[in-house]
Amino acid sequence: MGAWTGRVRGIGREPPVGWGRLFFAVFGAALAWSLHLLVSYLIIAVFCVTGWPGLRTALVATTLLCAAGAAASGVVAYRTWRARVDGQAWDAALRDPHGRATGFLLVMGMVAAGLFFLIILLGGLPPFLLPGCGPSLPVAPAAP
Amino acid sequence: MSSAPAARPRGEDRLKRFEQAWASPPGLNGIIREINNVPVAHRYMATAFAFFLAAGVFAIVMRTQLVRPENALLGPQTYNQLFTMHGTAMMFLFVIPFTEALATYLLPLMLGTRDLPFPRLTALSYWTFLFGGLFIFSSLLFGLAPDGGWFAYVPLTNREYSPGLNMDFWDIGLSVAEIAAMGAAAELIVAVLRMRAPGMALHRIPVFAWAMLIVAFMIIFAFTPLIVGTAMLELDRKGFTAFFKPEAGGDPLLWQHLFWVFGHPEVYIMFLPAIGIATQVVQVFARRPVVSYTLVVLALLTTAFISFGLWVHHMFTTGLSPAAMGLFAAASFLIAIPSGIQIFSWIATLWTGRLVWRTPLLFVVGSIIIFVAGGLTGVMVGVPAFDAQVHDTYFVVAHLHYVLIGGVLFPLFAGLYYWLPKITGRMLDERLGKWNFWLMFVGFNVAFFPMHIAGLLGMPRRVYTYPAELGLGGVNLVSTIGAYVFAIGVALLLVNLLLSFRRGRPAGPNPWDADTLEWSETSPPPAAQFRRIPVVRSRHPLWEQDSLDPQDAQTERLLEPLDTAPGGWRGALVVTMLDARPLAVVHVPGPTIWPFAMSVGFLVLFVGALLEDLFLLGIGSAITLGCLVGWFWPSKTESTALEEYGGESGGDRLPLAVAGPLANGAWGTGILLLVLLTALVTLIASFFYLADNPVGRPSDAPELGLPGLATGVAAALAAAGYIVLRSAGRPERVTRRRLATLAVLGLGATFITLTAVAALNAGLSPASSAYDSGFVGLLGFQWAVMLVLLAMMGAAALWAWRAPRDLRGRAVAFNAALVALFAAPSWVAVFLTLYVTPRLW
Repeated sequence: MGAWTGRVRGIGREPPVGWGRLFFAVFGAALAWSLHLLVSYLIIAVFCVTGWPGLRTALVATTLLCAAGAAASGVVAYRTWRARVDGQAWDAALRDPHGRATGFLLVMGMVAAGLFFLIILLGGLPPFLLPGCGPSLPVAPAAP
Repeated sequence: MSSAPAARPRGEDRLKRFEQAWASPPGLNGIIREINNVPVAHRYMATAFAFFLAAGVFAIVMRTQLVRPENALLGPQTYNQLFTMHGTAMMFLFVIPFTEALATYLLPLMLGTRDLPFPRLTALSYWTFLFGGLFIFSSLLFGLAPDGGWFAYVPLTNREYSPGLNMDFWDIGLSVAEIAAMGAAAELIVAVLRMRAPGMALHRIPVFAWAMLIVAFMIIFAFTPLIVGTAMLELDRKGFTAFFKPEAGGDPLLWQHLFWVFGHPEVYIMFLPAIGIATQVVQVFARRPVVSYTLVVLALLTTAFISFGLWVHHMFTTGLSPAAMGLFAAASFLIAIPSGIQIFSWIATLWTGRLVWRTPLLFVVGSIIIFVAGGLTGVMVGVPAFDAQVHDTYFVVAHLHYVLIGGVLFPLFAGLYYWLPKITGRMLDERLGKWNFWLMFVGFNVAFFPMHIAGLLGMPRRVYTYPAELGLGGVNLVSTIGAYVFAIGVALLLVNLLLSFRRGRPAGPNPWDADTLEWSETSPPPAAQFRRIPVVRSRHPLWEQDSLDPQDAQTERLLEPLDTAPGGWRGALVVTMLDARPLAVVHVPGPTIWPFAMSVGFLVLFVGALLEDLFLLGIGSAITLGCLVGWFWPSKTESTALEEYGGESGGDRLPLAVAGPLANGAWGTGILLLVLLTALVTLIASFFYLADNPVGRPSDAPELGLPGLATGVAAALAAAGYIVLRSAGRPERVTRRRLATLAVLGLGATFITLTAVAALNAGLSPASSAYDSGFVGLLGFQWAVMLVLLAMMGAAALWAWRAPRDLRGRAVAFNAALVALFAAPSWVAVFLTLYVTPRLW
């Protein structure tokens, strides 16, 4: 970025854990869910147009991979949180005035990971319950 | 409870200079030139509310038409215009602008800052919104009001089936309102992330601010596809392209995808601010902090994400495969989880609080009841089998009004009753307020509950009448009576407002004993708000802090230059994003004519586009370009600020953030790039969607020669851009910056020439081929990015020659370099899409 000066002494750079890590910890699970939805939709479109076999397997694999991604985000959030606030009460980051925003975001990331992990698994259920391709609605017979 | 931090005893002169810096110019000149958030937000709210009243009148006229079977009050054409204008005005000209206006007013106060980061953009958003709204409404004067529904489905809205100018009014006017909304969104993002009171770390910001931050990002991601879609529709209507024409390989369903990728998040764009308002009201009138702040914020974030994955449930009857429907049905059910978290948090807060039953709380409780009912019918229509039965019936009308009136309008009214005393300085009448609530609550349910039954009995929506034999007269009569009662309730708010202006009790700074910073200022707040920057150590500063003064020597010292200061210019504080530690002082622009003048230029451009008049288009472009030059011309107040701060500083003193990553301008550029990225993804997805259709798709892949060469040029341009970025941060590297800016200009021009020649050689025919339309759309996007880059880099080059060490010129160079670093990878994506992937098919 160049040599932009002007930072005040004593105002440290944020966040203390690195932007990439914090971003993955907070948004990783949500992004895994978004990926799950879009990739599953794409897989359904491609398999249904081409008639390739194995639609259900592809969808299950996508679900498992994305659920693993969400879980990984939760693990990163937990481990980072342990490294930053271990030794304090679990909600120390949430209480005023002791907390810092990073701890708050990490706790939010942990809960989000759990929520999206479940949502991905639930979103992966329909292929087991419904037929894959084909017309979705009964086609009305032509009027006589 | 604490109040505004006491300004230290200062010379009268210093205070006077400070207040003068923030004072509005008098008279008409002031109305046109003032850009400060408070007066602009007043106008924004009043204008949006006027559009709400007009759209409400349309609804009443429609209900009057439907009061009995085969009524002849309105013809079908007028009815079509009314329901289109009702939906369009409510969605685009009332709810979103009004919530953005409320946030424009409140956020600086709530966050403890003096203004929004880009006040000129605030004013531009307002004037553009005003002219765009008047443009759409002016169609009524010519009998040309839009009549294709607020969703504008093609092929109904193609020129073939909608030959008049009606849908052009909709298309062009709407694009303008969308641009205004996105401008305001950019403003709110930077405000919440960077312009907060010291100590207001992310875990301490009010829920309303969280909601607006998340909504502002949603607006960026949701409105961009709609802008792309409406541009495609208008180009189709003008005969330049064939995106939605099946005979040319186009696809009407592409419009539905683009519209609902915007349309479903739009529901939550309207709903999340309402959650923020309701949460603020609930905790104040329950006299306790909201239960589980963390989960409420998480629920807002989760709702925002999931809302982008639901758009296909509006298309369940378009012939999707069962697997696809199952996937989106599941997502539709699952959004109930975060919504449930929010509802349960409010219930728990109310349950465990000491309730004070005033009008704002009544509206929130009414909202919870209505919204839960609307949410339940939402889960019902998320079931594809049920949706197939009730699709396009009055059941859906009932559902969406339960969600939007219960989930949005009632909280907005709660917010009005809650914050109007702050805005006007006078209390509203409590008894009238309660009448207002009960009439609206009862009227709403009487009007909309029977619509569920009408829908289940098979009454289709968007029809101007119905035969008596269907037996729907009774439920429609009840609905119409309810609509009138509801309207009387709304009218009572106006009566209450008028009475409040005339003889309302003075509100005082904090009539509700509320917890957030806006209540620490006088009601109404002064133009120069927060003479002394407040310091926050709690999520509820007015409940839990004895004082808003700094408690440590460093903060005290850092904030001292902002204590009833600066004088000759408007200054505010920026803080670190997470923990809100003081970072820099920023110059906030003062009164100027350019936002107003530019929006006039836009208006001339809309009229020119509507009438396909090249002269008007030329005049509008000239005005807009002239205003851009004026806008970016160095201002006197910024020069004064630079002189006072002596360029870069730091160490033990807050610097003046003019350029580089510390400056708000760089953040604004970042948001512009986010918009461009979203547009690029939308265009690429649309191209592949159309390319799937063999009709109109060329058999041979396009030539690689010139585009390949252009890719090399783009890579060189990125390298030169990087040098500009680096050298902008080092004032001594003047020569390097001069040469690099020139290189970017030369390479950009070469790139445009190469790609234009390649396009001409390809013999594209966008008017008769959807594939070519997608091709030209992507190329056009890339050229637009390059032209923006050339304009910015041209300005940077001028600065580099005229005043090479000036921070303002280095800021332009830095921001232009960011665009260059986007333009090159953007071209790689376009190149791969247009020139490489066809070889893989």
